[in-house]
Amino acid sequence: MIQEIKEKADANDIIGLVIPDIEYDETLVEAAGFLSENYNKILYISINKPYGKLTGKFKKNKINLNKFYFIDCITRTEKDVSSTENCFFASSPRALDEIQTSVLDALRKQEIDMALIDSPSSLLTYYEHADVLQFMHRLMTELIVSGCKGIFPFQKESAGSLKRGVEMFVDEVVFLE
Amino acid sequence: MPRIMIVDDDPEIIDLTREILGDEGYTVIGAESGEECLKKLKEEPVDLVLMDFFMPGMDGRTVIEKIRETPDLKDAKIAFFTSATFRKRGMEIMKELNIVDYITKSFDMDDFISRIKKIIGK
Repeated sequence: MIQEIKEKADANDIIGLVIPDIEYDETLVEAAGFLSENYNKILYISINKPYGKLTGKFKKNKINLNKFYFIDCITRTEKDVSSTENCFFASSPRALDEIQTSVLDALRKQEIDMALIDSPSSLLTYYEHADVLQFMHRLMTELIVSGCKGIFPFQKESAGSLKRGVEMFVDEVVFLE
Repeated sequence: MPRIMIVDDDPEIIDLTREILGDEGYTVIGAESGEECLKKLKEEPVDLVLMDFFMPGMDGRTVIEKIRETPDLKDAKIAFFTSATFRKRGMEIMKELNIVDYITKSFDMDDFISRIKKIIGK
């Protein structure tokens, strides 16, 4: 499974991943491990998983955290935290402009060559389909302009029609079974 | 008079396109959503549909798929007219959906008109 992601990520700039819901979190951790071994610096944009929980999982799986820069969109909705050297805490998943600015800032300053957004469909809790599509489109454009590759994962069963819209902006979609 | 439908949630885009294509002798029909497009197409066929991608409710791909699923409309000539940049997979989907052209909104007017004329065959 990871080999397939590797091949497609190597061959394309932007890929979509469709992952069965039940395997989603586990697969993303595996993918993060693979990315940490194959890319210089990875931008991990987390819409709904707190930085603390994510890094705990990464440590447990012996994934080198120094290879990541995180944008955490959820922790500050629960508690007051200040951004650190390897994580920007956005105020909320609703703050699309702030998230976008932090992505641009990270792309400028962190020598990032791969980005992963976990997950686009989480934004549907806060925004309409068309707004999320436009945000994803802007993100992808920024990645391309910055010479950075991108992975956009979707839950197979629950992501709904968003993945079909985003499919228009990617080079290839990898269906993981 | 060839009839062109512009599907876009921005009425200013519809008005601007109506003005440009109206001057070229085309009759332009506007639809501000996918739902309105499907309803109007069933009522009055057109020679070309210019489809935006980013729209509330149904996005452009979904509207086109619905058109292709409708027996009376499935052969409609459709071009994307959008600010979206489609990549490799998007281009494949356009082929699968038999989209005749992909015109970006940052268009040069002469080029726009000449592409419309070429698509319609006049």
